Amino acid sequence: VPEPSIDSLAREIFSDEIADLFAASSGKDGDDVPLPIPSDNHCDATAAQLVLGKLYAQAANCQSPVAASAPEHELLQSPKSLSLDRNAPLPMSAEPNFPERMAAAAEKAVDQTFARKNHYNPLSHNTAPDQEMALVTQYLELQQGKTTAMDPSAMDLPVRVQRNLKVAIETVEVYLQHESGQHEPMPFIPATRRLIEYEYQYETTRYELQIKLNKACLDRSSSDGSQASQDSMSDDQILNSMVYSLQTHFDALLAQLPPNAATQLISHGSLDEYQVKPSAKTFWPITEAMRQNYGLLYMFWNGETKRFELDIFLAPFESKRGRCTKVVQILHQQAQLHQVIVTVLQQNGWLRYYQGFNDVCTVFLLTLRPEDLQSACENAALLYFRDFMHHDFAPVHTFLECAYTLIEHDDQVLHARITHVALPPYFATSWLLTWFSHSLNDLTAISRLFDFFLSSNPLMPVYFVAALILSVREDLLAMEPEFTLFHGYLRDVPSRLTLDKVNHLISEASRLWQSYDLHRIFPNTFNHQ
Amino acid sequence: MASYAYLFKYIIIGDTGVGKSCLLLQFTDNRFQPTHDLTIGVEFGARIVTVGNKRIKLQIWDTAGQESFRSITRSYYRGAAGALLVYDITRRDTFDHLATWLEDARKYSNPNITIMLIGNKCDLAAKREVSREEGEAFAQENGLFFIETSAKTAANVEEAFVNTAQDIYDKIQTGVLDVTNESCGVKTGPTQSGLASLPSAATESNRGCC
Repeated sequence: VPEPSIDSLAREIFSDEIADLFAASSGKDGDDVPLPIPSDNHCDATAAQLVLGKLYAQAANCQSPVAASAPEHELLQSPKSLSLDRNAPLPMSAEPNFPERMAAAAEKAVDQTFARKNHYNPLSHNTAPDQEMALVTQYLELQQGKTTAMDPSAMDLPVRVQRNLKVAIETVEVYLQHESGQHEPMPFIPATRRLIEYEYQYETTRYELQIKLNKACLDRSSSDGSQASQDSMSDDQILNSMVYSLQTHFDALLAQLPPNAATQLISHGSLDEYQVKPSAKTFWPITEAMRQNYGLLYMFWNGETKRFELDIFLAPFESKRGRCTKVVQILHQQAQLHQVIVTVLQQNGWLRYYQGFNDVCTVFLLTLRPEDLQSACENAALLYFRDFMHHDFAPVHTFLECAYTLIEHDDQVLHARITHVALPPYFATSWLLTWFSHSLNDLTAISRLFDFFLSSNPLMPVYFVAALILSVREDLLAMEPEFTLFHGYLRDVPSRLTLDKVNHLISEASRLWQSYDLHRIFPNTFNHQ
Repeated sequence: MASYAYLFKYIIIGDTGVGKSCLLLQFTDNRFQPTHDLTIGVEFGARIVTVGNKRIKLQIWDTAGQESFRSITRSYYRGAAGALLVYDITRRDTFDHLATWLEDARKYSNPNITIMLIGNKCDLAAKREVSREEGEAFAQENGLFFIETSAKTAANVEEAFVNTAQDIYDKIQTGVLDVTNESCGVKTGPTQSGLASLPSAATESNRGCC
């Protein structure tokens, strides 16, 4: 793994503006400057940062039941040990040896050689962690009326610390608003939501008009045109002009979308009536934007019990993504992911969280700029995953059956074998629900796949699933015809996919797409009726 | 492929995060994975155990706990001879939801299914929210077997699976279950004869799939 330059790391962590400052302050373009790697006596700083990270996570979570079910084994008994009682003393003051304890946990959790030598982690390098934390504490106290003024020395802190502070304060503010019941929804991208509403309206109107038209035709044939002269335009003309004006309005809404993430996400093909040109696209925004990342987190929303359950899962991602996992960053990202998902759900009350949507958002978290994260997740939910975000999973069954139908058209021998062993298609459930991000190991391959799906019709993942199964036909046909064997074998196929294989399968999926027209193959499934 | 006298199909059900996948992993692989990977859809594991001098292959379907997934997991009730209904003794809500799960199991599975109620995470005594007596009472009221387990320490995990197999085996012996009817979730193994004389050593692990 090549060591990333300061500049690229700075850009990874900070906004461009701050990264520029960072580069300027180092005097060069950043590449050859030795990294200010923290020495071993920075253990306290790490511990302090951990506390700060926990504060972020805690503040963003707002609710203490959050971690009621967090696993016992967790190294960091994170939000659980922190009281969210407003009047309770802040955790760091409540527990005198908290920093030491956290430092010990950090020692265990982080592979130090890896973390300190090979990867510069700005969050662990901190010239003034105590100051930083003191300021956050002070700010909280200010909000709670315990103190009356902020320390003016805040203005002298380095740029990075100020930024961290800003994030912390914003998070804390959200937390406090929640607590006092004054929470207002985060600013959002209204154009996207209107677009979706409009999509439905468009389809509904068109459908209603069609009914009207049919009815009018019937009336006319029965009454022999006695009332036809009332309008100068024919029904056909009326319909066409209405559809035209709707379409124009629709296009205008599209143009209103924010210029960065949203326009990339809503690339052609997603809404414009199943016209997709996967092979014509050469720019893959997410792959382009993909940046190295250190780790992540996992979280899920238990919709049944109406409460959050938050787990910090360090190890899966260390092994799964093969990346350095820095506890502070995990906590920070956890807070981010949590906030993103909650906001998507709050803003769109009709969407329901499902286990797997967190995987999808995690990919965006790892690949997009922070400022694009929220809109990317909401767009993805609204445009690509909403079928899975209802109360029941009927569309999942439909889509999985469609994959089988495609196999039937393309390879009757294989389809006959699958039918013979009575293999239920549910081994592919997570493939569809997470766009393979739950089972694929290589983030580059995942990003490539996401780009493909984002630039394609929402049903393209079904074609990809079919392509993937077709690609292992020889193995399947050679296997003992026992559906558990098939299930076990197919379940593990995605984990072996590399970027090359993904690219090959994308071209196969595109071939299927072109060979088997959606409307022809599924005449009764996706007719909007 | 290892030979066996009978094949029993199991399904593991219960709320999200109660430790269904961990129980299965402890049973099939004798290990505990502290970090949690969500089950999306259905997973699958198998192992051979010995009951009444017979080698019996357990084929176990591990299901997603979130409610949305129930329409998928329901299709696995059919053809299951045993169901492990799991709750977490440290989370009362997972116990409170048992009735819903049981309703599903009764509705979608075959009437002779053996259901084992499992209170998991019994190593976390300090955080216990559901007493052992409550679990026993629920099991008794509903005609279920009951056991408390810890997928972490492996306590009673073996017993949970094997006791269920024992009951299914008894049902075969007494003719309650018909091994020729696959919808009962049992069938005879590929090489049935000659295996009955195998020593009834402790259960034999058969890693991976089959």
